[in-house]
Amino acid sequence: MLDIDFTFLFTGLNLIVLYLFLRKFLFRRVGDYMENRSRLIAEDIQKGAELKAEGEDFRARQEEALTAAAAECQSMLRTSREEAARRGDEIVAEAKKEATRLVTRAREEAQRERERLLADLRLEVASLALAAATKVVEENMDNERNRRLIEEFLDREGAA
Amino acid sequence: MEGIVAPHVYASVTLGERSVPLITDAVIVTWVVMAIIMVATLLLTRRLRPVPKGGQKVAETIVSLIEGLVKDQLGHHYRTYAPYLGTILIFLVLANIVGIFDILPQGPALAAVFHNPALAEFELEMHPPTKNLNVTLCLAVMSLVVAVGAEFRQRGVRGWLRSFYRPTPVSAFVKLLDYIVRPMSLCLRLFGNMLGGTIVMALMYMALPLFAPAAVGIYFDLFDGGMQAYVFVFLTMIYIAEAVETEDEMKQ
Repeated sequence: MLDIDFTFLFTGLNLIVLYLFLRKFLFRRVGDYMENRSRLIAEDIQKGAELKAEGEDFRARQEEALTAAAAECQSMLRTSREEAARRGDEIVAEAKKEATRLVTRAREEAQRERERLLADLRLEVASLALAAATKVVEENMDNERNRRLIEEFLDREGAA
Repeated sequence: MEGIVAPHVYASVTLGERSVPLITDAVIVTWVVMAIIMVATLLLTRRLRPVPKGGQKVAETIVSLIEGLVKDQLGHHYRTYAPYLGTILIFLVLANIVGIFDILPQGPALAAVFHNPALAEFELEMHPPTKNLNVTLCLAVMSLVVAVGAEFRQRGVRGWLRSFYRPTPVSAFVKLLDYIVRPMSLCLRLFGNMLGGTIVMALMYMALPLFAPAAVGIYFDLFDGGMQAYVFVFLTMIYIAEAVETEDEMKQ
C-alpha cells in the first residue's frame, strides 16, 4: 500500500503534460484573450469619452457660431433698416428741397415776368402818351392852358 | 476491501527480484481525467468571441477564478504560477470527485452481456487516483520543486544558499526540515483523506446500498474532494508566496 512504484513517475509525466496543455490552451489562450478584450474595452471607453468631448466641443462651437450668426443677422437687419429710413428721409428731404427750389424759381420767374411786362407796359404807355401828347401838342401848341397841363403831367410823371 | 486499499496493477516490470507495478488503476484513471480535462478545454475554448457565450463563459470563469485566487496570494507573480496552480487545482478537483462516477460495469457483467469471456478480465473502478500514495507524493514533490524553483527564480542560487544561514545558521536546520515536512504533510494529508473517504464510501455501499451512500457521498466524495484539492493548492501557493515575498521584502 505504501510502496513507491512507477505510478509516481507516470503521475509526474501526466501532470507535466497536463500542465503544458492547460497552460497553452486554457490559461494563456483564455487569459490573453480576456486581457486583450479588457484593453480593447478600456480603449473603446477612452475613445468614446474623447469622441463625446469632441462632439460636445463641436456642438458648443456650432451653437456659438449660430448665436453669432443670429446676432449678425439682427445687426444687419437693424443697419439696413436704419439705412433705409435714412435714405428715405434723405430722399423726402431732397424732394422737399427741390420742390421748394422749383416753387421759388417759378415765383421769381413770375415776378420777373410781371416786372418785365410792367416795364413794357410803361414803355408802351409812355410812348402812347408821348404820341398822344405829340398829337395834342401839334394841335394846340399855343394854347396856354394845354401847355401848362403837359408840363404838369410831365412833372408828375418825372416825379413818379 | 483489498481492491480499494491496494492499487489494481495492470502491468508490472521485474526489477531484480521484485515485481514493480508499472501501470496501476491510478494511472489509468489519471489518463481518463486528463482526457476529460483536455477535451473539455478544447470544447470550451473552441471559438473565442468578444461577447462570451456558452462554453467560453465557463472557461473564462474558471480562468479568472483561478487567476484571482493566485493573485490574492502572489500579487503580480500570478502570471507565472497561475497555470501550474490552476492545473493541479482542476486536476485534483476532478480526480478527487471521480469516485462518484464509479459506474463502469466490471468484467463479469460485461462478459455476460456481450457473451465474450475475454471481457471478464476487464476491471476498472473509478476510484480517485489521489488515494494512491504515489500520486500524492508526486504532487507534493512537484509542489516542493515549484516552490524551490520560485525561490531560485527570485533570488538566484546564491540567494537561495544564503537563505540557509540567514538570519542565523541554525535556520538551515529548520529550512531543511521544511523541505521534508512540507511535501510530507501535503502528500499524506491528501492521501489519507482520499483513501479514508473511499473506504468509508465502500463501507457505506456495503452496509446501506440504497440511499445512504448518496447522502454520505455529498461529504466524502464531493465536499472532501473539493476541499482537499483547494487545501493542497492553497498550501502550495503559500509556499511559493513565501519564496517570492521574502525577496520583495529584502528589496525594500
